[in-house]
Amino acid sequence: MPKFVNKLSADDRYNLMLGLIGYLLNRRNCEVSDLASVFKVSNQQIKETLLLINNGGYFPEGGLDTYPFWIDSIQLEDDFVAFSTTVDTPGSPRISQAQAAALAVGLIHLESLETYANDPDIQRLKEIFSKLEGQVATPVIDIKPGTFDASRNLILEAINSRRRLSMSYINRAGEQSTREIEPVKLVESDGNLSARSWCLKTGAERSFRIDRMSKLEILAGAISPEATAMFENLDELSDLAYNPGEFDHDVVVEVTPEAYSLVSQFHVLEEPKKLSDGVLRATIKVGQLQHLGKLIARYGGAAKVIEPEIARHIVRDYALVALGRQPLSTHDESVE
Amino acid sequence: MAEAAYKRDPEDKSERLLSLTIALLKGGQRGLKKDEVYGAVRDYRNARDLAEANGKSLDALEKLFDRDKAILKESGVPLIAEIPADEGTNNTEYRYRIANDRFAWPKGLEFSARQLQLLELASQVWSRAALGTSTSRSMNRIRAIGPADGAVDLTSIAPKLRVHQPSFMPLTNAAESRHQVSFSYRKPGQNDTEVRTVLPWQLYQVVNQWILICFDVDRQEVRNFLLKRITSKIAVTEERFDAPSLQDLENAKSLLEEHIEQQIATIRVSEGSQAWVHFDLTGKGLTEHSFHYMDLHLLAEELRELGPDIEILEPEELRDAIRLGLEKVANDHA
Repeated sequence: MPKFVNKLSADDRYNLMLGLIGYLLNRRNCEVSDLASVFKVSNQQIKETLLLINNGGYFPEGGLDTYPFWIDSIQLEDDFVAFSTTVDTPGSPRISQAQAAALAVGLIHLESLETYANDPDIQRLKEIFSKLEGQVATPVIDIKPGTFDASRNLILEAINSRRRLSMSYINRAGEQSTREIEPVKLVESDGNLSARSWCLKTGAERSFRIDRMSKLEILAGAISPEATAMFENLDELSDLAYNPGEFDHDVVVEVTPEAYSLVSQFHVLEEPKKLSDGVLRATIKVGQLQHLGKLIARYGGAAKVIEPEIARHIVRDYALVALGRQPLSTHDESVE
Repeated sequence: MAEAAYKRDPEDKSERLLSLTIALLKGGQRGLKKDEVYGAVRDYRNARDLAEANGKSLDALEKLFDRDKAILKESGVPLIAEIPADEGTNNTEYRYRIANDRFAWPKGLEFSARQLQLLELASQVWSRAALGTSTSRSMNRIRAIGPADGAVDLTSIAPKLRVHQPSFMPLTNAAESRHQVSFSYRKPGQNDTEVRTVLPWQLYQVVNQWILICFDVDRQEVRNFLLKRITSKIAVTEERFDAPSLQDLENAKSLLEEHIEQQIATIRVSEGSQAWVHFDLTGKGLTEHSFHYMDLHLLAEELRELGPDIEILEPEELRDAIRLGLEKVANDHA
C-alpha cells in the first residue's frame, strides 16, 4: 500500500495537474483509483485536482471563455474519469533541466551500487535523457560516485536479502566489540555512511558507521520481527546519523557555514537562529557528551559549543589530548 | 460549458498557474503581451480591476506575475519572454509564450515498468531538503507517459544524497537559467570573506563534497568553489551567459582529477585503533598508509576526528592545518 502525502502544496498540485493532463491526453477514460495508483496520491486528491483542472481556462477580455480540459463531474462522483479536450495541445509536458539533471544524477548514484552496476535499463534511460534537446546537453548537476568496497557491498547484500550480519565494531570511544546487527537502511552524513539497523546486543535501533566495521559476515536465518517492522516503515525511518533518546542532553552550538553539516546530523529542538555572518545557533540533542569532542573538533573552529559548560570542557580536552597535551579536567562523573 | 462546483482553497494558486499555462499555450508562438495575459487569467484580471478601482498601482500584480513565471520555469515549462524582432525598435514591450517544441516529451517516447521504477528510485535518492521535492514533482510528468508494461518491484537501497548548504538550490536555478551570480567565499584558515562573481556552470559532487564548477568573471578563468565555504546568500544578477560545452565541463573535471592525483598524504596509524579500521588496514600488516586527497583542509577535518590514533608523516602543511584547527578548538572552548 503506497503512503500518500497528507496535503498537496500548490506547487505540488500544479505539477500533478500537468501530469494528469499528460496522462489523460493518451487515455481518456479510466478509474480514479488507476490515477491514484500511477501518481501515488489518494483518490480524494485526484478528484480534487481533476475538478481544479476543470476550473482552469482561458478568459480573454471581450472574447469567449474557454475551458480546454474537461472531466465529467457527475461520472467523477462515481470514481470514473471521462476526459475531453477542446484544444490541440503539444502533448505531455516534459521536465525542467534541473529536474532532468537531478534524475540523471540519481541514476548514476544507483549505478554505483553493485545491484544496479551496468544495468541496461539505466544505460537506456541515460541515453534517452541525453537526447532530449536542450535538457541535459550540459547537465547543471553531476556526481562522481564513490566506490563501494567489499564491506559496503556486503551490507547492501544483507539489506537486500534481509539477513543478519556479524561484525567487529569499534565505537566512538574506541572500544572494540563483536556485534550482530540487522541492517535496514544506509544513511549518509557528512561523507560518512552509516547503517541504520536493529542491534541484537542492545535490543534497540542503532546507527553503525561503516568505516568502523570489520570482519563482516552474513549469517543464516531470518531477521527479527523488530527489523521486519523497520523494513515495513522504511519511509518513516530517520535519516539522521544520531537519533534522539529519552535521556539525551540539550547542547547549544554555533556553526559557521563550513560546519552546517554538523547540525543536520542531529535532532534539532527548534529552528536554528541566524546570527551575523552566516553563523547559526542551534540546540541539538546529544546522547553521550564525551563523543562531542570528536564531532566538534573535526571542524577546526567552525563549530563551537556554547553550553552546557561540561560539554565545552569535553571538547577543549579532546583538542588538548589530540595536540599531545594533558586534559585540564576529568568529567566522568558528569557524563551519562 | 458550466464551471465545476469545486471550491478551491483561496491560498491554492495551482488553478491560476494552470490558467496561465493554458493562456500562454493559446497565445501561440507570437505570444501575449502582459496586458493580454492579465486579461486572460481570472485572478490577474480581478487583481488588476480591483487595483484600478481603488486607484492603486499594479506593483503587487507585477510581483505575483513574476513569481508565477518563476514557478512555471522551475516546473519545466519553457516560458519565453521576448520582444519580437519584427515589431521594430520603437516597441519595447515583451511578449510571453511557451516554446511548443520544448514543452512536450518527444512523440513516441515511452518507458517500461522497470525503467519507470528505476526513475522512481533515482528520484528517491535525493533527500527532501535537497532536490527531493523537485524530483518528486518531476516524476508526475514522467508517470504521465505511463508504463509500457506491467509492474515490477525494485528495492530502494541507495543512501540518500543530502545537501547541507543553502546555496545549493539558488545555484542550481542560476545554472539552469544561465544567470551570473555573486557570493561571499571564505578561504580555509582565513577569517575574512571575499566576494566572487561567477558564471555557474555545474554543481558537482566529488569525494562526498559539493563543488561549484564555474567561470570566475574577475579572474577570467574556470574555478571550483566548495559550497560549504560560501558564507552569504547567492545574489543573482541580470547578466546572462551561454551554456558551457560538455568539453568545458570535462576539462574542468580533468583538471580537478589531475590536482587530486598530485595530492598525496602519508600517515602512521596505531594498530587496532578506530583509524586502523577507518583506513581498512586490518589484516594487512601495515601501519603506514598513503592516499590521494582533493583538499588539504577537508582532509584535516576528517583526520581531526581520528585524534591521537594517527601521526601525519607528510605533507607538513596537513600537520599544521590539523594542529591549528585543534588549537582554535581548545581556545574557543577554554
